[in-house]
Amino acid sequence: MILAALLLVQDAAKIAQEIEYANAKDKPQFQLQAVKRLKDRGAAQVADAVVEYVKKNGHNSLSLAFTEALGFLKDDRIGRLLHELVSDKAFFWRPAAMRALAEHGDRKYLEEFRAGLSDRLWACRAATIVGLEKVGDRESIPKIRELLGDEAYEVRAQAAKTLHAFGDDSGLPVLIEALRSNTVWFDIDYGQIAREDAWNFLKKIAGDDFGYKPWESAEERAPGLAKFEAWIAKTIPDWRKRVPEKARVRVERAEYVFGYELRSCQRGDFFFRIDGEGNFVLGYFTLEKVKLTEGELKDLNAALDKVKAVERALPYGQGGCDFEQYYLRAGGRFEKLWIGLKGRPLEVEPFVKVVHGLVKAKFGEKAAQDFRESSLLFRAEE
Amino acid sequence: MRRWLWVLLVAGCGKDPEASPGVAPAPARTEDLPLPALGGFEYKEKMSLPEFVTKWSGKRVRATGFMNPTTQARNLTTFFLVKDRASCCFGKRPQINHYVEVKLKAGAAASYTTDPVTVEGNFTVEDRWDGDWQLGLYWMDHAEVVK
Repeated sequence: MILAALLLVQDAAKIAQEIEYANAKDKPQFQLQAVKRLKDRGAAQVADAVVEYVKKNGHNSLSLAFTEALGFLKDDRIGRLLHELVSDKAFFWRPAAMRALAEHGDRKYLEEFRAGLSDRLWACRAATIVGLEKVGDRESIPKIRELLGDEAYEVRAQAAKTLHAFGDDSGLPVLIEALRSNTVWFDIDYGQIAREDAWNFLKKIAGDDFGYKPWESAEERAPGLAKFEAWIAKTIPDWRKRVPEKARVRVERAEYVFGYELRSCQRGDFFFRIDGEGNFVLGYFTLEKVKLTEGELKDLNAALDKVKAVERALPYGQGGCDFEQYYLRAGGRFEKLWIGLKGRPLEVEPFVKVVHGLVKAKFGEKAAQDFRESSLLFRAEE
Repeated sequence: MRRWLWVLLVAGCGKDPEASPGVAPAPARTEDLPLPALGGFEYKEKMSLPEFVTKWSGKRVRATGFMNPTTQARNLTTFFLVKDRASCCFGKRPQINHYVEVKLKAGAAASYTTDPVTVEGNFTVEDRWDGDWQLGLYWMDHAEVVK
């Protein structure tokens, strides 16, 4: 009896340590080991300790790996916790929590999944589509179809995959089109992410990869692409017409003079560039281009000069997966100014203010609000 | 003669180089270590590591990869080097054989960057544990960021 009690205490201590290590931010090599041990124990054994840990340490003490793992701990207590995390707009890993909740496939959260289709974070929208697929909600098919025209590739692609799982192939043209994705953000080929994702899915359903390799150059990819296009044309002859406007790959040959990249685990992404012809180009997969007036360009450049004066050999603010990065032309190349949470030098503030005004004037209140909320994370504490 | 004495000393002690930070072993030349190769197999706990990995142990190497972000952005004396940019937060979680724990040489510090970094240092392949927790497989000591 005493021995059994001792074993229980020992086990509880081990579980507590595993939860702690699964969330140890500076020991990433421990996180996956701890997560695996918790999964092996099973939800029933660890759920109370998990809930207790979150209660004691707060939502933002959780690591991304741990939040994702909650999806494999299927238990009502964990489901309730995930629902709480998803509802917390300030939680760092909301999209991961939404993915985990989707993984539970619990119909109890059907309304949350339906509402999530219009979440402001694209990763949440994509996750809720998975949730609707898991609970088999065919009533949402029309809404999911609308998301084939979402501004984010990941959402469009998930919509296409989920529709396919429901026996509806109307999203496949979006994936075929993505095989031509050519988005390059300065030296990063983001197009490859979309090409690889679309290819992985399509080759399974086509039963052939047609020799297409997403990492190869456009010329090398061309023969495989033609075969994929011929394959879809057999079942959907007018597939090109069915690709929604925002999902269409546009040829982009502009030369850029400045870039702003905001990536945030908490808030999502925000990208824009200024090209050599004075256009403000918003987005990175789906580009929206607006010509700036002479006056607007002058104000923007004046604010940008102040940013250029900031020492950029060092990063500012806290490290992590939330940052804004300024691509500043210096001769024939670009230098980067990296700013983490709460680290923005005061000299940069006028630029952020000017950009907010431009985004509002050119792209509307919603885009301006997105920018404002996301960029607030980097403002220095007073 | 001095060289032989040094070799005997190192061989006789067989100590973790971290235990004596003042002593920097100086392998003959620096070789380019391709980081993707280190993670190019499915790691299973306590497995024997493949020869294409172990052959790098004990060498002075130069490797290019990405810094895994931590909460600190400046004055880093140690960091994890990973093979791709997406391994932090937007892509797949790195597995234990995807990390190199880099310890910079005494007095050196680095700042976080999203750009690829090239690091040169003494490379060790060793499955290290703290109790029943695995610390890592790949280690680079006396390192410096060269680019």
